Amino acid sequence: MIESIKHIFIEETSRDLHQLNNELQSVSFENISGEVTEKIFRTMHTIKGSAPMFGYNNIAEIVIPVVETYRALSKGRLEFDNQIIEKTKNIVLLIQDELNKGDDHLPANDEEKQMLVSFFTDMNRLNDRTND
Amino acid sequence: MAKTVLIVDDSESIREVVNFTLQNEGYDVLVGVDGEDALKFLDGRTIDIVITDLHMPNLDGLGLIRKVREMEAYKHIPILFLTTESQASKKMEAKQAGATGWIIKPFVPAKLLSAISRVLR
Repeated sequence: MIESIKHIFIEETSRDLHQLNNELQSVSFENISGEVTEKIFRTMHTIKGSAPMFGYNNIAEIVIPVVETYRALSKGRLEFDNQIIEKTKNIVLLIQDELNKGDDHLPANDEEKQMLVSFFTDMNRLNDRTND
Repeated sequence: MAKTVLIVDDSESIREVVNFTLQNEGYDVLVGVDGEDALKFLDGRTIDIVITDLHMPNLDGLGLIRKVREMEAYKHIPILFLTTESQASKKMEAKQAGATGWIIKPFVPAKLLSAISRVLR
């Protein structure tokens, strides 16, 4: 059953990532709106819940720290800077790349992926420390 | 008579999985793509349970539940959240708004069915 719905997941996630990518091209840390921030959070949140249901555990692992970073950003517990915007653009492309590879490829251990996941994980640690 | 379930989720793939799971078990299913869209089904018809996502555009799950609880016909209808959200503060907020239960995504279809059966018993 899940297999037959997988193509819907791939199509909708690709569409959402494409939209995010387009929106991110025109924003900077100085002008990003609450609406775009909320949309990034919601899209990542959706992917976090749906990706493992279709075998994309690797994608879920990537988005978990992004979700928490955007939760903190949307609540004003973290502030946007250029680096966050740039890393978000990169992670959107990385998720699309993982989606294109399919669910049965060996987990990537490349430098770019590790660097991006570490960046968002560090952001969350910073947020946790700030709010302790 | 088949029970009617209103499912509300902005993710098409999740809607499909839930819809397939429930129809397979003999439930009648109504589908809303967000809270705002779901309101069109709450027009007095018989709905036995609502299963809703939390984070959605236009009207989110908390907004939906608050509106449903204001409707005389649906004041006591069971409402389950089906969401990726696991924060205790959100669960508390949902409970205070009138949520009946909380299921975390990703979910196993059997777990969803068992939660629905429990609530409808």
